[in-house]
Amino acid sequence: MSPAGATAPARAIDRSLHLRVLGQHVWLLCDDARLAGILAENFSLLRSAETGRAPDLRYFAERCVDGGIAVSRDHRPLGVAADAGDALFLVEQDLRMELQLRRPDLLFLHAAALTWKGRACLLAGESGAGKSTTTWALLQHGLAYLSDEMSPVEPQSLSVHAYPHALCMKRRPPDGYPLPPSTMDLGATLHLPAHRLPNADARDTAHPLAAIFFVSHRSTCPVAQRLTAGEVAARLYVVALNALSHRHAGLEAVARIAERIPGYAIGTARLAAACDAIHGVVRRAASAHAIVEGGPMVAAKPRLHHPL
Amino acid sequence: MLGHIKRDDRLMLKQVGDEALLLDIEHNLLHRLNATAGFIWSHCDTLTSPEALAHGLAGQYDVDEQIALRDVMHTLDRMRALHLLSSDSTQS
Repeated sequence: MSPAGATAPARAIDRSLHLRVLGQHVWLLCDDARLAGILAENFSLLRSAETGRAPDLRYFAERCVDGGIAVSRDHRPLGVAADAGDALFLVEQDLRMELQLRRPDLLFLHAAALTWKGRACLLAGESGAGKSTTTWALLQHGLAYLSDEMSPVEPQSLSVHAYPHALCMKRRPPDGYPLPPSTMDLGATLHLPAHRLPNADARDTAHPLAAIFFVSHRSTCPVAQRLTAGEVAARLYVVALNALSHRHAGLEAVARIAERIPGYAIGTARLAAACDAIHGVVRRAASAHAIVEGGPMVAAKPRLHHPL
Repeated sequence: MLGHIKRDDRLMLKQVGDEALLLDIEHNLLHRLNATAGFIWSHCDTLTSPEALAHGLAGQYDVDEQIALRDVMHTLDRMRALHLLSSDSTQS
């Protein structure tokens, strides 16, 4: 991607796209037919019919005479992209930041989210851990898509909102989970438009959380290993994108989630087996009216844990 | 050996179940303490000697006070290395 420059746009803007994301109205204006098509596919399930409403955020993408694409938000330059894929990256990156600023009530997690019968699960992990690939595979197992990248969680209600942009993968999934012909190959990334996925839940409502999985494609252990609440909280804090905008620097929010929602570590190198395990946990959680966590009360003094 | 002990009040502690998270924003670090370490850190402002902390631990947990003292000493060393204690904490 090239740095931001002062290259003049080649022609007038003639394409627009209206989105509604987490209550925010977003307007994308674009003068490039290919980029307009990519943006429309990428945000297909976030499109809004309220085209007459004043936007909260307004993005411009203009083709420059040197072939680059200048991207700006509300007249603030965001950069000049080398191609349509880079331009999409610039828009998405800024949009995610702006949503975090505009919805400080939500805890934004770097995590994928899916639902099963209305109950949501999160797939968290560092970049490249396999969140998107596992998400794509779980869709073949009957779960519905909410997001593959950013999951906005309401800490009080313990529920997660959808951010159903196109599912984005850095590499092709393993055998057994082939990509459909509608996949957009943007060079560095593969994008599956959300409206073309087998199951997607684009309702603008919050879905109650049932389980959190911390995935790692380096691990071949496809067993959901239950984590302590402390470990879940610590792992959640690491993937929280706006922790500092919450009370007590976000510690209260992650603690509240971790103490109430079971968390698991799972290896996804054996993808089909891992999906079966995840699906099993979510299915059991969705069928339960209430989940009671914790063990029996112990009357005797507890044993000393070896510290640190 | 640590004499007077004082926790670093710039750190933020949050109890999670029987563990605790200790956030060090200045060093961009998050520490996860088990119940014993959480007890030591959260009490080291009031029980300001290793012996007092060990006595407190022995009252809370099913552990011999001498064994507790050994663990307290080890834990305080680790906490000092991780900048979890105030620089006011003195060594004897």
